[in-house]
Order: sequence, then C-alpha cells, then structure tokens
Amino acid sequence: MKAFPEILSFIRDMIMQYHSPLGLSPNTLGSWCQKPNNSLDGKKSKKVLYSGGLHVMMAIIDRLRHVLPLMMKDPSKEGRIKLLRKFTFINKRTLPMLSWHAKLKEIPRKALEILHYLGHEDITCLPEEPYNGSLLLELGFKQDAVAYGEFLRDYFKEQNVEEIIVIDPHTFEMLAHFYPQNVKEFDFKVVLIHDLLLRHLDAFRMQKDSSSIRVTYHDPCIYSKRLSNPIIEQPREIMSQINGLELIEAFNHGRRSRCCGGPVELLFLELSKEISRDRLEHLSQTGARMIMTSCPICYISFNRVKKRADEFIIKDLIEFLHENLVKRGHFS
Amino acid sequence: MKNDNNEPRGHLSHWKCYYQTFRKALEDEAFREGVSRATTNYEKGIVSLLARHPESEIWAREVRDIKERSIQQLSSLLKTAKDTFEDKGVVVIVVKDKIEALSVFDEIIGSGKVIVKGKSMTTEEIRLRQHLMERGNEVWETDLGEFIIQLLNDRPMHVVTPSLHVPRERVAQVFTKYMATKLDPRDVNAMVLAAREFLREKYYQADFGILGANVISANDGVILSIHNEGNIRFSGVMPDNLIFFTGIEKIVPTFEDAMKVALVTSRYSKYKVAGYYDVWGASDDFKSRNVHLILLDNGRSRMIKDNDFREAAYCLRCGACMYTCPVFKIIAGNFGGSTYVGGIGAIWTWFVETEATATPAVFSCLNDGSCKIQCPIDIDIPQMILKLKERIVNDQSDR
Repeated sequence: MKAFPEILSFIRDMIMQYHSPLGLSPNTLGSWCQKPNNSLDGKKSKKVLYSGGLHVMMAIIDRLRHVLPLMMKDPSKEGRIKLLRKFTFINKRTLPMLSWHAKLKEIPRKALEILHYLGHEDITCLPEEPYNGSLLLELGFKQDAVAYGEFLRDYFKEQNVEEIIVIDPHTFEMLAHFYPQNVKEFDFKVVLIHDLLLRHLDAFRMQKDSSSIRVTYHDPCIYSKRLSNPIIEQPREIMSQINGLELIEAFNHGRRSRCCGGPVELLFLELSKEISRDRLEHLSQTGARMIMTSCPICYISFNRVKKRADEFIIKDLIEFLHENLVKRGHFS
Repeated sequence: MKNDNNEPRGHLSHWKCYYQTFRKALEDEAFREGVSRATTNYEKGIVSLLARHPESEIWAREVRDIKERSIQQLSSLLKTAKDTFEDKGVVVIVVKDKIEALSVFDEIIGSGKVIVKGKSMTTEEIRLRQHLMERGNEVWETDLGEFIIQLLNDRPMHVVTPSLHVPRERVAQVFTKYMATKLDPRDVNAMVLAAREFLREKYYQADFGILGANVISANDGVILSIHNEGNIRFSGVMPDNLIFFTGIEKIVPTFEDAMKVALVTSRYSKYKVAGYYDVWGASDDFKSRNVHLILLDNGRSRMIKDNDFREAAYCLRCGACMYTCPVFKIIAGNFGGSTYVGGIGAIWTWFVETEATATPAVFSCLNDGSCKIQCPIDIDIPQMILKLKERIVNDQSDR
C-alpha cells in the first residue's frame, strides 16, 4: 500500500523534470535578472548571484494563497493533485506572471545592485535559474537530490561559473553543504551574501532620514540551528551599523529561535499557518513594528498570517539595506 | 474502516486519521490555551534554571557518555541485571513484545485485584491499564495528571505532564462527578486534596503496585524513580505485590551512573531538584515481598541494532524536546504516535508501533532543529526524521 500522499511524488517529479516545484520555467525563476545591466549579455560569467529560484517561487505562492488550501489542506485527498498533473505542460513556456509579491521577487536584483554598489561589479546573474533542489532533500528524496545536484553542477559548469553568491538559507545549505558532500565535483566557491556585506560595514553606517524604528529579527532555522557554524551574529552586526535602528530581541532568538512553519505547508497547510501565527505573536510581543528576516519562506509565511496589511512591516534584510541606499541617492 | 488490530485500513488511512485528529486540536481553544501555557512556562523556566545552574550541561555530557556505553553493552547489562535482581529475590522477566508482556501480567495478577499504578510510558505502550481492567481488575493511576487522563478516558499528551492540555475547569467538572463533592475550578489545592483523599483509600486496598522506572543500575540491582507527588512511594510500599515494568534501554551499569541519569532527567524536566528520587532494591526489603521486574523489548533491539536510529534509545524522557517544538506547541501529543509523541515520538513509533502509524508524524516534523538544541544529550532527532523520510519514499519507489 502506498505510504505517502501524491503531492510528494508530484513535487519530486516537477523538480526532476522541470527544475521547479511549481513547474515554472527557469526563465520565470530567473526573471529578476535583468539584461543587460546584471547579466553579462552573451558572455560567460565566473561569479554569479544565484537565488535558487526561491524568491520568485515564493512571490508567486503568496498570490496563490486562496488556491493553495484547495490543493494542500488534507494530504489524504489526492484527486486535485492528480488533476493538476494533467496541466504540467504549461511549464514549457515562460508564464506571464500578472500577480506576484513584487517586493519579494525583486530581492535578488536588489542584492545584486548592493553588491555592485559595494564594488563587486564582476558579480552577475543567470537569466535562467533552475530551482535549488532543497525540497527534494527535505521530503526524503535524497537520491533524487543527489541526481539533481549533478544537473545543477553541469548547469553551472556550462555557464563557466566558479563562484556562487547566495542570499537565502535553503540555497546556502544545499550549495555549501549538501551538494559538496554528496555530489562529485560540486566544487564551486559558495559565498553567503552576509560575508560580503560584512566586509563593507562602513557603507551601511547610514543615518536614517526619519525617527528611529524598532526592529526584531527572526532567525531562519537553517542559519540559527541547523548549521554547525550558525549565522546569528552576522545579520545583527550589519543591522547594528544603521543609526536609528533599535533591535529588540524576542525571548526566543538566535539558537532558541522558533520556526516560521513554512516547512510543513505542503502537507499540512493549516498547521503551518498556526505555527506562523504563534511565531508572529511571539515576535510582536517585543513591541517592534518591523520584523526582519533573511529567508523568503519565513517572509511569506508571516506575510500571509498578518491580521491586517499594516499590522507589521515584514522585510528582508537586503530589502531594508537597499531602501536605505536608495534614500541616500545611490540607486534610482 | 479498521483492521483486526483496530488500526485504520485503506489508502492513506493513517494520514486521514492523523489529519482529522490534529484538526480537532487546532479548533479546540481550551486545548490550545492549556498547551500554550505549559510550553511557554517551560521555556521561560528552563532558560532561567540552566543559566543559574550551568553545571547541568556538564552532567548532561556525562549522561550522554553513560547512555552510549550502556546501549553498546546492553546484552551483558541485561544478564548482569537479571543476576543481581534475582539475588535480591526479584523475579526478572524479559518480554519480546506487547502480547507477551500482557500475557505475563495476566499470569501474575489474574483478575479481581485492586491495582495502583505510577505514571509510566511503557505501560501506555502496551495499554496495560485498559487490558487489566478488561480482565476484571480495578486499576488506578496515582499520578495526578495521569489520574485526570484516566477519568477523562483521554490519552497522555506529554511524557512528564500528561494532562497539560486539560483546563482546570474540566478537571473540576470530572472530579466533581467522580468524587461527589462540588469543586471550584479556581481552587487547585482543593482539587489536589480531593484526588489525594480518593486515592489514599485505593493504596490501602491495593493488591498490586505497578511502577515504571526512570533508570536501572545493573551492577547494583537498584531501580530509580523520579516523582513529585509522593504517589510512587505509596504505590510501591503499600501493596504486598510489586511489579516494575520498563524498557530494556533503561539499564546502566552503576548506581552512580543511574543517579546522574536521574538528575539530568529531572533537571531538564525543569526541576532544580524533583520532589522525590526513590531508590528501590538497595535493602533486603524485596526478599520478603513478591516483586517482579519485567523488561520490555518491543522493537527496541531493532532500533538499537540500526546504526541510523540507535541514538533514539538514549532518550531520557525528560520531555524537553517536546515543550520547545513549534509543532508540539500547537497540537501537543497529536504530533507523534499513539504513545510516544513529538519528533522523538515519531521515531519511537516507527519501531514500537507500526511504520504506517509513524509516517504522517514523520512528515509533520519541521526539521527545524529546536528539539536537538533543547535535548540535554544532543540526540539528533532532525537527522533521524530525515532518514525515516528517505526510508518511506525509497520503500515506495522500490515497489
């Protein structure tokens, strides 16, 4: 007897066949990478900023919030997923995405602009971005994750990539840890954007143009609890440079931070939302108006359970830094 | 639809049951409030306790080492324990599974007896209370939380605080019904007193006491129990006949090892010092009484032999990982199996219940790592959950 719901094999098949859990094309996932400024048009790039397809994917999932409960509420009901399989052919073309969370989708582009501003002009991006493969591992498809890593390795090598800059925890965990340990010749230099930003702290020593803002930081689980060298102090050090930013820590922060609920949304959407609400409630007890994080899954998990649009401002650290540089006239 | 073992049958039936059960919990406001209060109190308390007592972490590292060594040499420890306890007049029986365990209990107890019980997850594992009652015995749980669960015909939601989800109003209601005295839900002390008075009579009437064990020393032939209410002491001393029932993984070599395990277990359950640490078997007392020690395997050997999961057998059952788990904070013991709950419970369920029962629990784990961070002995629950997921999907792919 089958032991697990159809949605798991559906997601596996989509990633293995189309390189995206939603069946989106690599063009769609890489649509944040604009030519000709960011991608080296026609040239092979050695250093790339790779979003793992996560920001675009989560930006679309945010807009599917009314559809998802129909598909993912009760894992034992499989009919709708089986029906969905019949429509997977649409992935073959780049979808004109009329609705997505525009701010989230733009975070990788903003990250690249910041890096260029800081002098890393040799970093470019790939207009076709396959997904990072992390769901395969999280759902138990380890053998498929290894095979997918081989595909990613070949893809990056074809693009002449030597160094990959990543901006989210899931892509970082896969590219910096899982693939190098499990995929032969996955030998790219993988750099987390925090490490680059920390080299330029002076650039962020910025005066905010308005009064102070109270911010609390939500540590993504991979950064704070799953890595043997946790990434807890780095974002705080960057935030500490910003005058007027008052960081208020939640009772559970750093190693004791709590999950946003995102990892179980595929199978248990209602449970996932309750976990998000619980975490958001804890974060709100700090009295902070802004919840900062560094993970697109946490970003969307919190965004969708806010009671009101103006209840909290949820921001990615990169988005915040970019806004401040814009205010200082560095970008248009 | 259920099969002969009263388990759900059909395509994804376990998933359906699991989903329906936790949905009820999601909608039960009193349940959610109780769980939230208990888990928040634990978190605040444990952070403060460990900050005041940094030695706890040093002890915890020692206990990890003790558990590793003990599980490694379990076969010889079992043999030693059998010899030392038998020298003290204890009848030692190792049982391979639930059916064998229940049959041994039937043989020893028979029917028509009064039995007082201490809280024990191992007895929950074989549904001992229910079985003995079906055989015509009068059985009473003496731990207050477990007593509440018994009266409500519910199941424990946590290994240390089984009734953490039951609001005091509901306790007052059920106590009023059973004890024929009107109880005010605001007066917790009065409810505790009422339970004590009710149970006191049962201790005097009891033919048998059944106790679990937090840890057993093989070399010294002693059993340690941790409790807070004095009920275990009463249950163990008052009846003429005493049965200890626990898993084979609870054995360590020496009394010193056992004391360290007991201290770390209670410390990470959020007690600087627990109410009572009872040491059974140190004197000649057992020689004049009818005492049995029943040790249950029921999948534990299979778990220990499997290199990917041996670590799960080190679990002290302090409950720390559950209080801090984001899934547990919402649905409590509905996350896990029918006996063992939380992420560690999902792993245990795989071995001591059925793989099908464990599967939905395995996939409702966030793999966020908070359990591993809270675990005093650093059991890598997230890694084992990932391994189980691999086994589940590979098993499916192979067919």
